Amino acid sequence: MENNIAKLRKERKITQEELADAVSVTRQTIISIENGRYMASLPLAFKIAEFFEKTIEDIFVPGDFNNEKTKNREDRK
Amino acid sequence: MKIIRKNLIYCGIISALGAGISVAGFYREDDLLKSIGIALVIVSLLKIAQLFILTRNDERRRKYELSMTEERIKYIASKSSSFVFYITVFCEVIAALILLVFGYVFAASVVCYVAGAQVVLYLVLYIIFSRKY
Repeated sequence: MENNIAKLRKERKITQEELADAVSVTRQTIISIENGRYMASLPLAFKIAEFFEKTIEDIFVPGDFNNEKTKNREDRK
Repeated sequence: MKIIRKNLIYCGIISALGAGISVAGFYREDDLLKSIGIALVIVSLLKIAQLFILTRNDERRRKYELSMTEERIKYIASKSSSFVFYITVFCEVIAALILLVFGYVFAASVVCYVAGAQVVLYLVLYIIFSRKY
């Protein structure tokens, strides 16, 4: 599972600390999520998505699942 | 504030327990009991002091409470406890085998019963939780 949190954060010039405060977690949790070491729970994913005013799919990218989906689409064509 | 209050109560209980143990140590003139009791009192009083300092600073208190309730911390704690469980059972089995080798059959059976009870309890809780979730 990959995510665009770091990218979105940099685009909007938001620090990890600010994001952590906004979604009620510690900065360490944001670091772990950004590095892919920890997978956010669904409520936290919703909070992060709400903070960035985006959908969960815009932020969290299920790597293998997407590849499989693309592969299936290509197969159908 | 709720978490800090809860921790203050726990520390108070530990401190009282430590005081009780140290009094028992003085009464029985047992140095080991005295040391354990005094150590418990000192550690819990230090923790109480830390908690009181936290209550004075809103920002630090909020961060402390967050670090105690946050989902990643809970995840780490649950992972650590499951590891502790496996390691404990493994060590108990090894200890039981060593005790058997040296002929301490009764002690080995006690250790085996404890390990068995832990595994049974784990299975029971697993069944209960699997029905709940």
